[in-house]
Amino acid sequence: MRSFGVKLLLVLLPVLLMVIGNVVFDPAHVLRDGPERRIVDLLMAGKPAGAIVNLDERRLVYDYLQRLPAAREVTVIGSSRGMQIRGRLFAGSTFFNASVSGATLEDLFAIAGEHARRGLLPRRMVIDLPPRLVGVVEGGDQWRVMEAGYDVVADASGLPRPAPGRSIERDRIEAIVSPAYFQQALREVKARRSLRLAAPLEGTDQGALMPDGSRMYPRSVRDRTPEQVEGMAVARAAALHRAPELAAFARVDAVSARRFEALIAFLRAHHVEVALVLAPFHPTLVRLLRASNDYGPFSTAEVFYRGLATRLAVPIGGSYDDVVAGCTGDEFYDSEHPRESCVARILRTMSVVE
Amino acid sequence: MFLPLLCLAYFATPRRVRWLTLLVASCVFYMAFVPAYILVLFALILVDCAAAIAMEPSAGAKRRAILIVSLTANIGMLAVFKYYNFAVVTLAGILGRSAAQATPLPLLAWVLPLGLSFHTFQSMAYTIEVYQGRYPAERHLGRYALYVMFFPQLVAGPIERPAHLLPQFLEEHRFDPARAADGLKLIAWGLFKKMVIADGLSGAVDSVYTLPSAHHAPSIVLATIFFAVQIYCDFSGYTDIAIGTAEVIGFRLVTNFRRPYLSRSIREFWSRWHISLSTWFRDYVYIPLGGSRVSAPHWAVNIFITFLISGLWHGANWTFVAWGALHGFYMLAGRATASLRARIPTLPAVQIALTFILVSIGWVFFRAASLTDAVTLIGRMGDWSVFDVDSLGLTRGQLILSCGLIAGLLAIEASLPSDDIRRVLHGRPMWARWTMYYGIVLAILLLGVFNASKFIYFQF
Repeated sequence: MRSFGVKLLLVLLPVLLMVIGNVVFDPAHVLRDGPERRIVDLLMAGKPAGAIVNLDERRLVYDYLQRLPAAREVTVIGSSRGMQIRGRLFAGSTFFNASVSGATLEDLFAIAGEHARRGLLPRRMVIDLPPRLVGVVEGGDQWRVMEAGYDVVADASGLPRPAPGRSIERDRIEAIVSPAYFQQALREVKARRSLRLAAPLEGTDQGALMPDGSRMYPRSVRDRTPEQVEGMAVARAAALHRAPELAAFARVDAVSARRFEALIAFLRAHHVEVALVLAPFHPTLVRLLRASNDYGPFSTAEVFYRGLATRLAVPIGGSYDDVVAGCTGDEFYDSEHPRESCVARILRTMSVVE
Repeated sequence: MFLPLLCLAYFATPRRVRWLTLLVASCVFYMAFVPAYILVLFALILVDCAAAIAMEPSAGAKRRAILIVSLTANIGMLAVFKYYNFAVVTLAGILGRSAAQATPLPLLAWVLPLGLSFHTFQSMAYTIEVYQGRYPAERHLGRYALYVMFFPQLVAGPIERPAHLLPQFLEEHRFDPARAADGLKLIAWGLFKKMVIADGLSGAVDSVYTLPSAHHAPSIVLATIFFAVQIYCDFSGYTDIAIGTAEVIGFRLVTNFRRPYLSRSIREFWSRWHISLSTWFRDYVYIPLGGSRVSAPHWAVNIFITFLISGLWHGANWTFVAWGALHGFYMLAGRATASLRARIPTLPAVQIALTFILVSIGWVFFRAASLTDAVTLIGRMGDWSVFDVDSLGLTRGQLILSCGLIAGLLAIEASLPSDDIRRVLHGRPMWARWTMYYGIVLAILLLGVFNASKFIYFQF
């Protein structure tokens, strides 16, 4: 019996190693502070930060705004689909792209509110519009790093403050015993990315966060062939057909719609010129979603955004539909992230940029 | 945590009430899914237990009538939960109503009770055995309930027979470290097959089978091979976990898989794949229909009926009926060409490959969402104009890893001295055994998918 127990413990040794690995590597910085401040140092010095993985983008925006001495003239908020909007498109204006991956309406409230709280609201704010902003989204709690900012918008708009979030202690415990977290840690160790995290851009192969807050993908992403991207679009269409919840949007939610309108009203009340951008999806994704009758929610969201823009007399450009947006298949990194040329064309059409 | 806690509770309980510990654990296990459906299970247990007790002293028409009551209760439950909506939609189609129009009868929005097809078949095996006088009626309601609900095999088999499982509830089990270690080894192997191989392949398979018309031959063929391996690793992985779990607490469950993809004919495949179900159909459908001791046309009808029912057992969809019919056709074609094939010398590897191809074509129907999709997929298998493996949704690294894992699994299975994976360890030096143990544990930790869906066969 004792021998059995010893053997059992020996077999479980890798599990212990996994826990130790999770604590030591902590790839998503759940247990310790991440590299956001070091990245902000680089950005403030006008240098790109290379090999960026698993930084907390909300924390980065928060830290950046803490250090920002004066308001930028143009700011972009929205999701990763808006991260290709670069400062060079707005020649002569100071610029910061404060987009965060998987942005929700809470994120937009928090980021806009954080700008307002610090007196950093820009003259013009470009908002990238993923459909989920006006849907019912069970988002994460990462935006709470700027909860005070959220409260500023909520209070000014007469909206209730958010309910308390989930315990960070629980996140920590789950991370420590999670094999998936261990896999993530090893992937990064293998790529030696964590070690170079927030290092200045050394070469063109790696991805980077640019000094204007926009994102440059690594060469492996930038050099994807149209065939590879088309394959990814097919796979994405299949995933959305199988699990529509992946789009995190099914219909326009009346409460979210009112809150989104309140956000725009808040910005305009603070004399911010708002411009709305609908970044397109890859042509193959759009075609397949239409063929499988899964495009409906995207159309619904777009119709809502356009209707709202017309009613509020806010400029809106682009479309989820690549044909309407005027972007081609080779202007995408994957099924839903357009390249700079595509978003630049949309902004020029809107006369937001020269 | 369930297994260690149960182990502690089971071996700490006095022997005469251990059945109660297992029964409570089985109820807790079942109720973790849809709690209310345990009432369905209890209702069937009461009906079948009472039917068997009433049947035993009876004879003739009365005995037969009681059996029919029991079978009707089980099949009726399957009909309501599993086949009602299918029948209504089919009827609507016959009446020419489109999907947008109202069906002739209302559709039920019920979720299929977990493992319904498995435990009803296990229950029917019991009442049929009692009816045939091959097994005495169990008079202890708790033990009979445990026979139906025994948690390791409750939701996806193996489908046990009363003569094999019921007597084990009367045996005295002591904790045997060697046996428990053997059980844990099988559990680890099952987890490896499920979490590393099956779940690792599922994304690519889903990608192709969700939107068949968006894919070309390379991705369809690869996804179909992946599905053949996925369903095997998913189901046999579950079976290994079930058998291993039972072993840890001292029980023996029947073998369900014997390296089926090494079969050299479809007939052999069915003696190696989901054995507890195929023998169920053999004993309770095929043989009562007359089996092979009838004229050739009658035999062909028997085979076809058995495989059609087997297809329908898997799911209420014409795709499963087509899958069953295809295997029925394979069996008929196999017999018709037996003498011809015997005269042509063929390498075993070729026979194995041909059998795998035939089985994989069947899996297209099994996995496709509709017959239209299945026909589209098979039709597009001829379109090699585009090398579209990127549409599988895997990176090149993941694709190479998936193919490597499949090749590794096949190599291991082909090299095994017997159907029991644990035999590969027998007689090996300690370092080799521990390398294997750590290899499996590390593979699960490093390559396992930890946010995957349930086992495929849970839906049946």
